[in-house]
Amino acid sequence: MQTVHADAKTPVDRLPEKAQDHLWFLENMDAVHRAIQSASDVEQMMSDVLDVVLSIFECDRALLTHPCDPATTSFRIPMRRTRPGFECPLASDVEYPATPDVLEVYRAVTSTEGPLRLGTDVPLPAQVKEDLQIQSALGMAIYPKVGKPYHFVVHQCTHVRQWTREEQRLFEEIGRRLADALTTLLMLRDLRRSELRLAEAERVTHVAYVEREVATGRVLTSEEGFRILGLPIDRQWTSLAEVLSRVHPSDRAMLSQRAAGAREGAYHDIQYRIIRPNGEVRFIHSRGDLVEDESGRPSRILGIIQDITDHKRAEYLTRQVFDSSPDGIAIVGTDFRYRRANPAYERTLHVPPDGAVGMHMAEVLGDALFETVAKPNLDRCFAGEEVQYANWVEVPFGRRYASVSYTPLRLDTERIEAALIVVSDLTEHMLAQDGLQKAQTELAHMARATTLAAIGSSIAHEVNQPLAAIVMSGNACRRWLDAEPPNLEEAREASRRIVNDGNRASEIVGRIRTLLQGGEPVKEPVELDELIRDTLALVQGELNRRKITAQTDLRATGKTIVGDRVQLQQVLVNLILNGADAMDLLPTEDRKLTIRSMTGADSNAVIEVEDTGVGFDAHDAARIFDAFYSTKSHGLGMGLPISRSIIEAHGGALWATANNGPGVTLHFTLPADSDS
Amino acid sequence: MADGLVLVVDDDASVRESLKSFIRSVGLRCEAFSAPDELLASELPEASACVVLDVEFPGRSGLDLPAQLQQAGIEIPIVYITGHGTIPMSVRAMKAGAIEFLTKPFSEQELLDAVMQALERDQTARATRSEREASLARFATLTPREREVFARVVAGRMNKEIAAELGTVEQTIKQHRGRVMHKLGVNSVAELVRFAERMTPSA
Repeated sequence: MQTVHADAKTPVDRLPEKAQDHLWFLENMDAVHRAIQSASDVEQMMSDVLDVVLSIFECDRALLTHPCDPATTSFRIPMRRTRPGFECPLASDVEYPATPDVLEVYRAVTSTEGPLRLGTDVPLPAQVKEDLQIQSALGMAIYPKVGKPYHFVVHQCTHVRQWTREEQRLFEEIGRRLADALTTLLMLRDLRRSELRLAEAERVTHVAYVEREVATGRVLTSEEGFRILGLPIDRQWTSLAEVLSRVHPSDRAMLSQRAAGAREGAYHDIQYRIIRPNGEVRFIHSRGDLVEDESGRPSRILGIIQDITDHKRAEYLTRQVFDSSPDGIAIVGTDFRYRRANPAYERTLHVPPDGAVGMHMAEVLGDALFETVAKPNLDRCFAGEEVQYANWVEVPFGRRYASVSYTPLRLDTERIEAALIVVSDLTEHMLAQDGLQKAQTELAHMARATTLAAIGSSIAHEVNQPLAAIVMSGNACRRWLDAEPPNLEEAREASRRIVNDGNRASEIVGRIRTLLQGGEPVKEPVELDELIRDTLALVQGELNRRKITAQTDLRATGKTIVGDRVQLQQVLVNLILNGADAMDLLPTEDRKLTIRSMTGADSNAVIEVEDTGVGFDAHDAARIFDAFYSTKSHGLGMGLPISRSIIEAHGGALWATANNGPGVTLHFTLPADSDS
Repeated sequence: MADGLVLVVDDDASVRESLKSFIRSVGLRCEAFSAPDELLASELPEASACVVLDVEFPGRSGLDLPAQLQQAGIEIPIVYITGHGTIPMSVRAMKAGAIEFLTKPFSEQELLDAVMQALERDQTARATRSEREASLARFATLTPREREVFARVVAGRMNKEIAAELGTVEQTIKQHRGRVMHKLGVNSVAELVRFAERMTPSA
C-alpha cells in the first residue's frame, strides 16, 4: 500500500502506522470542519470543502452534481473545483441530460453506502471519461435532509489511481459531513426564503403577526406590523403603551380594557382605529389568543393585526349606495323571504314600517304579481340566470311601471343562495314619456291642420267644382224629365254626370280626411310613387291657384316602404308648399316645381322636391330645420322640423341643398321595406 | 227670350257640361268654351246672349275678359261664377259691369235669375242699339245746315234766335225745321229732343 502523504507540518513518521493513519484522518477532517464552519452560505461552503478535498487527495477535480437520482432526466453541477490545467469543460448551473450510463453510475452510488471506485466498481460513462480525460474517479451519493441527494466525486486525470481504504474512508466521512452541512445551510436558506415570503405576504395583505408578553407588555411584531400600527419600522419591538398612544382617542379606553381582558384568557376579536403620524386614520382588525407557560400562567398573547381600512371604505361605500340609492335594492332568499331591503325598496313598494326583512315577497307584491311575474323570473334567477324586465305591473297600491333586475347571489359557495333585486319605479317617467309622445302626435296633427288651412281655399274650390256640377246636373235632369215629352237621353246623361262628380267630390274629401286624421301613427306598406301622385292631386288646386307648374319624374316604380301614409303625405305636402312659397315672387312662367323619386344606395328610396325659388343662404341652410324658424310672414315655421322628425322616425334622413341654378332641392330618404 | 243664347266659359269640364245641360233644359240655347280666348275667337251670333264666366283659369283671370271684349267692340252682359270668391274679386267684377257674381255651388234659381237678367239687359241694350242706329241713319239724311238747325232746336233755341245766329231770316229757319222734322219722322219738338237722346249712346 502506498504511504499516505502526510502534511509536512505533522510529525507522523514517528507514530505507528495505524496511529499515523488515524492522525491523518483527524487532521484532514479538521480542515473540512473549518471549511464548513467558516462558510456563510451554501455556495461558499461547497466551494471551500471541495478545495480542501482537492488538496487532501491531490486529485485533479472535485465535483458535486445534483440530483443524484437514477430516475432523473437531467442533472446540474452546483459546484466544481479543479487544479489548474484540468478545468472542467462542463458549466455550472446548466441542465445536462442524464444519459443511461450516467444514470447507471447514479444507480450504483445510491445503492451503496460508501464511495465507489468509478471505472473499477462501476464503469465510467465512456463519453464522460473521454470528455473529461478521467483516469480514475471516486464517487458517492450524499443525502442532505432537504431535497434530493448529491453525487460527490473526485477525478484523477494524470494517472490511473488506486484508492486506498483509508482514502475511501476519509472520502466517505467528508461526504457525510458535507451532507450535514448542506442540510443545515439549505434549511437555513429555505427558512430565509419563507421569512421573505411571509414578510411579502404580510405587506401585500396588510396582515402582521403580533406577540405580546404579558409580564413585560413588550409587543413583538414584523416590519409590516409596525407599519400597520403607524410606528417607526427600524426596530424589533414596541410596547402596549406606545401602541395605545397611536390609537384613536375614542377607541383607546376600549382597547386597553380589552387588552386587560385578553390577559385573563379571553380570545379577542376587535376593531380599532390608528392615527398615523400624518393624521391619516386607519382601521385595524385585531384577533388573538392567550398562550400559557408550562406552569399554566398566562405568558403571551399571540395574534394577528390587519389593516382593514380599504375594506371598511368599500363597506362604507356599499352601505352608502345601499342606503341612499334611488333604486330599490333587496336580497331575497330561495324561500322568497327578504334578507335585506334598502329604504328606497321599502318606500317604492310601500312596505309596512317594521321593514321587509323576514316578510315573504307575496305579502309585499300581492299574490297575483308574485305568482305571475316575480316567482317565475326569480326561479330562472335561482337557476343561475340574470333576469331583467320592465313593464307595467299591478301592485296592491296601484298600477306602476317598474324596471326590475334579478341577479343570482352565490354568497360562499357555488350554490345560489339568494337573489339581488334592483327595482326602479319608472311610472312618472313613463307617464311623462307617454305625454310627450301624445304631445308630439298632437303637434304633428296640428301642423297638418295648419297646412290644410293654408291650402284650404284651394281645396274648397276643388270640392266646390264637382258640387256645383252636381247641383246643375241634378236640376237639369229634373227639368229634362219634366219636359213634355220628357227628354230621357239628356236626363240620363245628366244623371251619369251626377254620379261621376259625386265620386270625384268624395275622392277629394277622402284625401283631406286622411290628412286630418289625428290618430296614432300606423305602419303599413306604402307604394311610394302612388303616394306622390295622391299628394300631388291634393295640392294641385293650390298649385294652380299660385300659377305653379308641377312636373314629376317618378322612377321608384313599385317601390314600397313601411311607414305611416298620413305622415309621409304630410311631409310631401310640406315640401311642395315650401317650394311653392319660395316661388311666390317669381314671374308666373318661372314657377316650376319638380318632384322626383328613385332608388338610391342600399336600395333606399330617395325623393326630391326641387323648386326654382329664392333659395337660401348658408345661414338659412343651417336654420331651416329649426322649429318656428320661418322666412315667411305666415305659417308656424313648423313644416320642415316636423317633416324632418317624421322622416327620422321612419329611419330616413331629410336635408336641403342649393341648386346649381335658382332655388333649392329638398331630399329625403326612406329605408326600403325589408320584407319586399 | 226663349231664343236667348248663353255662352259658358269654364275650364272644368264637369261644370261646363252640367251648365250646358241645365241651360238647355230651361229652353235656352247654350254654347260652352273652356277658356276666354276660345270665346273671343268664336263667331258671335246676332241674338240676345250673355256669358257665364268662371273667374279662375290656369295662368289667367276671367276678370280680364270685359276689357278684351270692349276692345273687340263687343258688348255682352257677364255672370261670374267662382269656386272661391273673395270680396275684392267680386267688387272688381261688379265694377266691370258684371250682372252677378255667384259662388259655387249656386242654386238653379240664382243662376237662372242672373242669366235671365243678363239676357234681358242684352235684349234691351240691343233694342236701344238698333233704335240709335235707325236714328243715326235718319240723321245722316240731314244736310249740314239742317244739322245746325237740329242741334239748336234740341238745345231749346227760338227760331228768331237761330236765324240771328246763322245769319238768315226766321222764315228760312222755319222751312229747315220743317224738313228736319219730316226727315227724322217726328211731329213735335218734344219728340225731336227724345230722338236726340236716343242717338247719343247711353254712357
